[in-house]
Amino acid sequence: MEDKAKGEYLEQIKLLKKRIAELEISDSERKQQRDIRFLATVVRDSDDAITIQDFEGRITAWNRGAGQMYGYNEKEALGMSIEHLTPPGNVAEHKELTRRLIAGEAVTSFETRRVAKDGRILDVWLTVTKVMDDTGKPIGIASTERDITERKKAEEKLSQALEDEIRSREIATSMLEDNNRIREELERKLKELKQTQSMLVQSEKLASLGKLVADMAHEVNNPLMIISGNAQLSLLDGSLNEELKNNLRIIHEECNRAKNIIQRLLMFSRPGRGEQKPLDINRSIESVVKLLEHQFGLSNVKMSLQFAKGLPRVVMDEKQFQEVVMNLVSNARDAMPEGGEIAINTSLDGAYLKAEIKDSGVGMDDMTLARIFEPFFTTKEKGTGLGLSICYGIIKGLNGKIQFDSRPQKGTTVRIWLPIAGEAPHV
Amino acid sequence: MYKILVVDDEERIADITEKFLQMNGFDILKATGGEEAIRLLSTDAEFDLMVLDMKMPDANGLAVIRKKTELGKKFPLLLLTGSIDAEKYLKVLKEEGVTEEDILYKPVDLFVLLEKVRKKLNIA
Repeated sequence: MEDKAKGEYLEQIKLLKKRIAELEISDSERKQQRDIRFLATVVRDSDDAITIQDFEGRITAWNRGAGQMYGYNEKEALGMSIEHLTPPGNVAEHKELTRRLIAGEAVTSFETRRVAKDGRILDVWLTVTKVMDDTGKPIGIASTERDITERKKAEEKLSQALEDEIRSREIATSMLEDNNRIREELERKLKELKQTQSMLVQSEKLASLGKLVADMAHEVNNPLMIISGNAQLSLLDGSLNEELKNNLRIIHEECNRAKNIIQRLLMFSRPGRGEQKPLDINRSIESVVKLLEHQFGLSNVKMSLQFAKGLPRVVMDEKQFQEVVMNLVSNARDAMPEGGEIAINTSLDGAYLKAEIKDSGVGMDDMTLARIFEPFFTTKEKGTGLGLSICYGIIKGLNGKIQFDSRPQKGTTVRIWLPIAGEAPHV
Repeated sequence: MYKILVVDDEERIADITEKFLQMNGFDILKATGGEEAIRLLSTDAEFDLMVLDMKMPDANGLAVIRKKTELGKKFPLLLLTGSIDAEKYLKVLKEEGVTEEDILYKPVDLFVLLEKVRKKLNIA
């Protein structure tokens, strides 16, 4: 009896355990089923389109989000070919996707395009996964599709706005550059005009000064001749004492000095033509340089020459040309009291021979530059103020041109143009 | 004795020239203007040389030279000028037989003038 009871007892325990196990399984299944239901609800109610298609491309599952996104209801969609949702340009892409999934390649998320029932093209973000049956065999493709059309539009808009901004900035930069260029060009033109205007003013002023000098020379030369002539006549009188004779000699000598000043002044107003002959300016400059080299060397001033070869000849008086060179290099030396270098070069400039004399001396301000050709204007303690007036007169007399570039403490460059054919240079 | 016509509207210059050349043995006839010079040239008076001022108010040196040529007077001349206008007329002067060598610029040293006069008259 005891054994029987024990056996029944054990049987009951066994049954109970089984029941408990069954209950436990049932609970797990319930839980699982509940989870599946939750998931199904999530899938069904998701705003994202969630669809399943078989490998032939037929739609086998269609959620509410897909209906909202593409405009097909579930009834219309089920069994429909996925190609209805694929724009012509993306068909090949879809076929390639299917092939890769069947082949077992990993394809996760990518951006593509879909077409809605009303023909709208949608930009979508696609997440795909293979669907398998209970045996693990792949039977289709599940995809979650999110409409990113608005985001894309916003992105494109932003991108466009950025491009527009960049272009605007480029245009603004370019306009600014143009403006700067135009401003620089205008400033350059204005400077040229001012220079031309100041040269014209200077030229007119010098022309009237030249006339004044010529008239004055005539008026002064007659009385000078009367003074010196009478002094000479008186000196011929043998009855005069030595002191008186000496005084008369001084009068005569001073008249000659005044005559020389007047003659130099006339070089400014009307230099005359002198002895006209074809002149090799390189050789002529060289001979002036040789004459001054030693003297300049004592002042620690060196002269460097750079001559263009084969220059044509200029028909002019060599003494006049050398006077110009002598005056210009002497001024250059005087501008460098501590010593320095005078660079002289020659070149052919169109129909003109150009000679340039450059120093690194004290330079001149605009006020000085405006007056340098005026007779008797000088910045030197012992200068006559006639040197540059004479240079101007000689060059002008040849239909040439003389130009100074100078700034205080930045040195001076003098350029002279001598016409080969006798025309004034356009510089 | 060589006879020289001295023409200058500046009377004092004409006087100096006259005196100096006379002191050096020349016979001088003096005119103090272009018109007077033309009048003298138009007479039968014979001259060996003319020392002529260029710039004169009534008739200038060029007018006097042209009259001299017109009258067929062949004697040489020296131009004595206070301005450099003579260069302006150089081309015309050359046509009248006046060269650059014949132009003297005031103030002229009297001994330089004398040398020129002698040279012009071929006096050793």
